[in-house]
Amino acid sequence: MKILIVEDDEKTAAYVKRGMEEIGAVCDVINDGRNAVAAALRGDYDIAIVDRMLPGLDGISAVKAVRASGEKTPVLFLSALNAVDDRVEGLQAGADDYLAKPFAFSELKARIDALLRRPPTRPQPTTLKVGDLELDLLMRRALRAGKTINLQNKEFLLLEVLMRNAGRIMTKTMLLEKVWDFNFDPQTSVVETHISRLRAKIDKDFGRQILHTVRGVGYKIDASS
Amino acid sequence: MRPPKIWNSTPFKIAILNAASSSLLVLLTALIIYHNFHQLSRARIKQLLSDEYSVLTQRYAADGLDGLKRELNNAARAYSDEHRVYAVLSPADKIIAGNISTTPEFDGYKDLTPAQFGLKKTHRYIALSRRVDGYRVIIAFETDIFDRTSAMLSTTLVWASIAIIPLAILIGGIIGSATAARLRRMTAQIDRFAEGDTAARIDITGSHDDIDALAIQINEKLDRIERLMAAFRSIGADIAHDLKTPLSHLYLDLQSFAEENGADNPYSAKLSEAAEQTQSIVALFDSILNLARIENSPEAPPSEPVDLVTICKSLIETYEPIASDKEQSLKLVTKPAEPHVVFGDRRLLTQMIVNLIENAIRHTPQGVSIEVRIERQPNNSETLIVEDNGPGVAPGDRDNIFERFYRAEKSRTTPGSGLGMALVKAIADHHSAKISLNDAAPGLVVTVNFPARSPRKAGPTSHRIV
Repeated sequence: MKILIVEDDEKTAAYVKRGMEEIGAVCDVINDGRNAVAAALRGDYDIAIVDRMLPGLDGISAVKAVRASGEKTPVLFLSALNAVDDRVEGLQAGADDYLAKPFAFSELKARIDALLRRPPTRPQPTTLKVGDLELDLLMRRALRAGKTINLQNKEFLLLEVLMRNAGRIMTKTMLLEKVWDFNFDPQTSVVETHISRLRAKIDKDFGRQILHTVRGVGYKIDASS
Repeated sequence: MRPPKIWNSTPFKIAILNAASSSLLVLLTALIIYHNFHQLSRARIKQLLSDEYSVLTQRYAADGLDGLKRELNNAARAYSDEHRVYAVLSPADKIIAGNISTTPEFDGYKDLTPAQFGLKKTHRYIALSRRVDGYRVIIAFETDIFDRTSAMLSTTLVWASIAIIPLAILIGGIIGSATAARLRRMTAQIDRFAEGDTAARIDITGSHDDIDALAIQINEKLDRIERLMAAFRSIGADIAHDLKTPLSHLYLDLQSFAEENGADNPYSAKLSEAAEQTQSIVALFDSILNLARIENSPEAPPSEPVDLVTICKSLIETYEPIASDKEQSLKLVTKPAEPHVVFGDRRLLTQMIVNLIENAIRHTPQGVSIEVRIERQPNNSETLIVEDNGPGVAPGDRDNIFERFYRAEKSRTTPGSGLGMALVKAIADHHSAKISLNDAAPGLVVTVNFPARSPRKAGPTSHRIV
């Protein structure tokens, strides 16, 4: 796995690089926008992690330039600019995800994981399956071990997001973004409450746990562990 | 700002003041002229009387009483209409010559009426009475011509002083309405600036008058405000960069130490805790920046039609389990299948409603019912209401609740940044919506009144409803 890190702050760049190398990735660090565009256009990176404020050419313009040339390498913005508008601007420029600084490494890793294994644009399956858990997206119906489970709207959405990313950790912020479209931190335990309701429905009566909490990081659906 | 009525405009007031003072001045002038003329004409008549008396006494000295009587009768005949009165009285005060039959007794100059001479006239007299060798000579000239002249003079001046008033008002009105129109244009241009068109400036007419001077000054201030707003918008980004970079480093270091020390090390827990605290500093910081950005955003929010029912339904689904964990009930009350569309920014409106619902859940005890209602007013404006039957908010606290970092005494123990309601207010203001807090007896009712139509330029109504 080859990762392009575009970051002018040496400390952050070193930290990201070390973390990525620990999980077996090869990293190139570039500290200005212009060179970053040139490097990205070579097209041999699996993912690019890009800071927004860069010397030479800012991150937004760099990503726009790369996308304008038809290059589809997944891009994750890593930025201190964290207003809703900043985030929207970043995603509209063509980035695939946006993470605010300061960030937990586990959060960055979970997001990169999700981006790397994002299925290519093939037809979406209408049924998701993890172990004996089945989610019929057309009938909007959940089955575990052949038994129908009644899910509320948000529980269904939450389960769908977790199952689409089966085996991967979804952090709290990722779930807030994908299930609730919240780009802010609510003051109440929105994610925890819905996870516990969902768990009570899909896990409680079935012996084997399928919805796991990864302490301090997030949640994942996994039939094997 | 409403344009002032014409009679409230400064030029109009000046015109009225001017009219009143000119009219007063003319009246005063009339009075002085009248007085002087009066004095002058009396002095002149007395002079004439004195001259006439000298002529008569010279005649007496030359020709004796008969000469005097002849001279006097001649003169009296010449003034047959009693414009002038002549008489000679014997030492026993009997009229022995002249054109009158009776006279009061007096000496020197005196103002007399025709009746006092037994005459049926209207004019008044100034009379002179002197004795010559025991004979009393009385001469009186009527003052009619002088009286009429001064009366005509004063009437003319009084009418002039009255005529000045409507004329001055008319001129004041014309100048006033022209100036008022100019000030209205100025106000409209300042309003445009206030509404977010930072390029709006006041027209300079080039007349180099005081209003132009004021307009130039205001324009300079608007330039300054525009520069400051631009600076403010970039300051957020600057602070974010300059302050968050060291905070990020601190966070990364704390995290790395915690990882390196391993989960078993007692320091690791402390380090993770410190890292979390760093995160909350950044989160608070983000909230302040976000709030400031909304409050100071000069641009209209992206105006898209937003259905309040869709947002609220989704949020009720999200928060119903949280309320129910606290044994509270949370319901949406609205007519089914009827959208309630307002214009604005969907993300900001969502955050506003989230804050209102979370506020109701967090600051009320178990067992409370929370109701979210969406109502259409008769003027087609939409109202969002979040009502609970909890302990409510003391009237004194209600005004402060929208202040940033304000927290009612009893909610000090509940975690929160103290920015939630300030953000609600900022978002409501951003959408020109009126927000009010009232007593639900018991409980708190928050009402958000959206304007009847899109407050600023709305997108075409064919827009997809989001």
